[in-house]
Amino acid sequence: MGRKNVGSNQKKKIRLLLVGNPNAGKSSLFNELTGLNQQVGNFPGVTVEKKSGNAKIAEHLSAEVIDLPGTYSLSPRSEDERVTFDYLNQKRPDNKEEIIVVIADASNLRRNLLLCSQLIDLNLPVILALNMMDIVQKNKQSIDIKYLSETLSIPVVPMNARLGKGITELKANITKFARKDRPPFISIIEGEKPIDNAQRRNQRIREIVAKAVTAEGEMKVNDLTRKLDAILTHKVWGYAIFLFILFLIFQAVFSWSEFPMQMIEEGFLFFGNFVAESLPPGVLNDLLVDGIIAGLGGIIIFIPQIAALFAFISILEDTGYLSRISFMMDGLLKKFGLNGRSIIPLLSGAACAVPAIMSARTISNKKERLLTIFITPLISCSARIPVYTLIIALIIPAEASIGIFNLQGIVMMALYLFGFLAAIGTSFFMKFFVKTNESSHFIMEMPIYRAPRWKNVGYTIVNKVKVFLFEAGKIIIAISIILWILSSYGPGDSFEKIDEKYASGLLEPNINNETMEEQRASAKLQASYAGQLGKFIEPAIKPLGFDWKIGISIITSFAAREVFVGTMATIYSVGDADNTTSLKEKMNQAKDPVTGEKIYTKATGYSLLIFYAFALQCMATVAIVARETASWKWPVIQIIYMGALAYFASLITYNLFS
Amino acid sequence: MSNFIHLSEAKKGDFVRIESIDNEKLSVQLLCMGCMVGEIAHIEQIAPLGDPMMISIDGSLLSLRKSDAREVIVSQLKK
Ligand SMILES: Nc1nc2c(ncn2[C@@H]2O[C@H](COP(=O)(O)OP(=O)(O)OP(=O)(O)O)[C@@H](O)[C@H]2O)c(=O)[nH]1
Ligand SMILES: [Mg+2]
Repeated sequence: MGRKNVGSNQKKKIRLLLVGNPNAGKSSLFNELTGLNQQVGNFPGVTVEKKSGNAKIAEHLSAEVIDLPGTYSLSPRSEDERVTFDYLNQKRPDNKEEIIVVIADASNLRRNLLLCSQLIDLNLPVILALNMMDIVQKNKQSIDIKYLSETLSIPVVPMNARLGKGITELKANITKFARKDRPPFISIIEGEKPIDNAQRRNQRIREIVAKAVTAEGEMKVNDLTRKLDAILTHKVWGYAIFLFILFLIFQAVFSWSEFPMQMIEEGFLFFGNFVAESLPPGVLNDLLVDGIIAGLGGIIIFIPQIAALFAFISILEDTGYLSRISFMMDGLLKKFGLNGRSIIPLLSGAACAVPAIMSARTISNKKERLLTIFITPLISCSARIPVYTLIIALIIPAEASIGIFNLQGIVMMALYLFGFLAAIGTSFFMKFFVKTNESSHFIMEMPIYRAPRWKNVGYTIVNKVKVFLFEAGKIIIAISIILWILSSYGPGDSFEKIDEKYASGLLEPNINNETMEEQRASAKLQASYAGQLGKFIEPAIKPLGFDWKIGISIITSFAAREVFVGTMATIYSVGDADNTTSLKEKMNQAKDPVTGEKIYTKATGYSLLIFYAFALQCMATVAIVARETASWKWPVIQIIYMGALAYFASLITYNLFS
Repeated sequence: MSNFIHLSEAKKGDFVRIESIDNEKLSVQLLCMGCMVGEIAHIEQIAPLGDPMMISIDGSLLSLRKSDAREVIVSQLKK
């Protein structure tokens, strides 16, 4: 290891910055170079933060590759463009040699060359990668690469980043890259207005492109795109198709996923029992089976649903349809203080609020961006699915229906609808309070339609599920352990007292052994630290129909909502001798010790559903909002607002149903 | 001579030539996205609610609101 071949084998490492217009294929090229799987999508503004990876360029040359958000020019208009602008301007301490690879969509050469010309005039080391050459060919055009390279005095490489064509040539050009003096692209005029400068630039670009591109026909929009747009943005069909797609997603998530979910659930019960039997009984066994396996199992069964959700969103994005939804919804959303671009955060918020909130960076108007960030967590995210599913199954019989519609499905759909209505309602109300003097625009490039790349969709699913599992898994394991400790031990000698009481057999003499064991366990749980905590907040949540056990779950859910299921599993299995019954059955059998009534009545169930629909119980969201708004003010307002909304909506719901 | 109108008044299917853009900030932004004086634009779609509109210039599609299109002066061309 380490030092062989010193001298003969000097390794050099440089830095490659991938810069270009949005949707030109920067992340596709990044993936080809680094072997990583950065998100790629047929939508301007997929990448909103800087990402880096490593690539081998030649035998002794490697590179740190930086994928940057797309930008149309060097005057940033939105936060994602600013990331690129700042990175280009930043001085980096390591003084690595840097080369800027400008990725240009060759089928839109004129527009894409503007940024390149600006970089040339900053006297930066530039290589031009002409991407999407397959489309140029399909349009029966050809580009004179040699002419372009000579006129611009920079290396020009034709490529197809989607298929990985031209990568070798690009690497060769990087390896032999040498800085040389170039004439400026346009002459410098002191004190020139930006618009005049851009005009002159474009004049020159036009002349160059006219010579470089030979076209048999005139440039025109791809026919398929035109035909699809006529239907997909049609004033009747457009909306009908959008609603149908939403319905389809709903079906996929809530009906088609049922079968794989059942298999996972059964697998976990089996696994839990297996572990419980193979390990010697005791503290470790309980923690493993009741806390961790039950908690993780509660989450893993939702993988099919989450995968289905991400698959659909990824397909919508990869085809180019997502930008059409923005186009159709802008007119409506602007009445609510939002922007057509807000549709991306709002839709992807159904999967997870964290990336959704980041994608709001593409909204240039500060007020619209802030409103979008503020309301996105009200959209029911995938972490609510476990909670909704468990409670709905608990309070509504599977066969209940209204007309031909299954009641469970209707309630689920209603929860999503409430979330959405609360979101846009909040925005409508907030738009009067948040002030801005920026004007509002919706100027957006509409990409041509493309067939989705299934490999890409597959990667997205795997990546997202992985993140979900690991992030949620970490929190669940940590909370399970803490909770298990807190519910297995109590302050002072409270536990011994309970044992004594039961041991002396003074309580109701003619009770059978099993019932007594159960009573003893529940008395202990109540006396434990966790029980005390739940009891402490019980008065506050009693009006919503929640008991102290639900109280414990609400507290732990502040880390992340999906912890609810694990917490319930832990609470209901501490002291449960055999783990044969599922959590649902245990909760179903739960009775109020005083009145003997069922705890999970319709009223309590509906109230709990509404609470989870509205409350901001997700630390990751709080953190991302703080980062994106660069202040703690907004996350704090958000927590209080959503908390109050959840509390009062639950209060009303509970009273309505009881 | 051809008659000048605002881009916002153009109908679906029209071909227009961009003559001037009044708002300077807007004109820089539009220019960076390929929409500049002298270009020929085709009105591709008008969103169902009457706003925004989708135009094509030089083979690429751009959507913009009527409020911004009002600042763009165009001349109508024969179809
Ligand atoms: N036909 C064709 N499509 C390509 C090519 N390169 C990329 N694409 C597609 O173009 C779309 C955009 O690719 P990305 O790599 O996400 O583009 P990007 O520049 O990173 O985009 P932003 O992050 O949004 O700025 C995707 O649908 C790609 O599959 C190419 O050479 N030919
Ligand atoms: Mg990208």
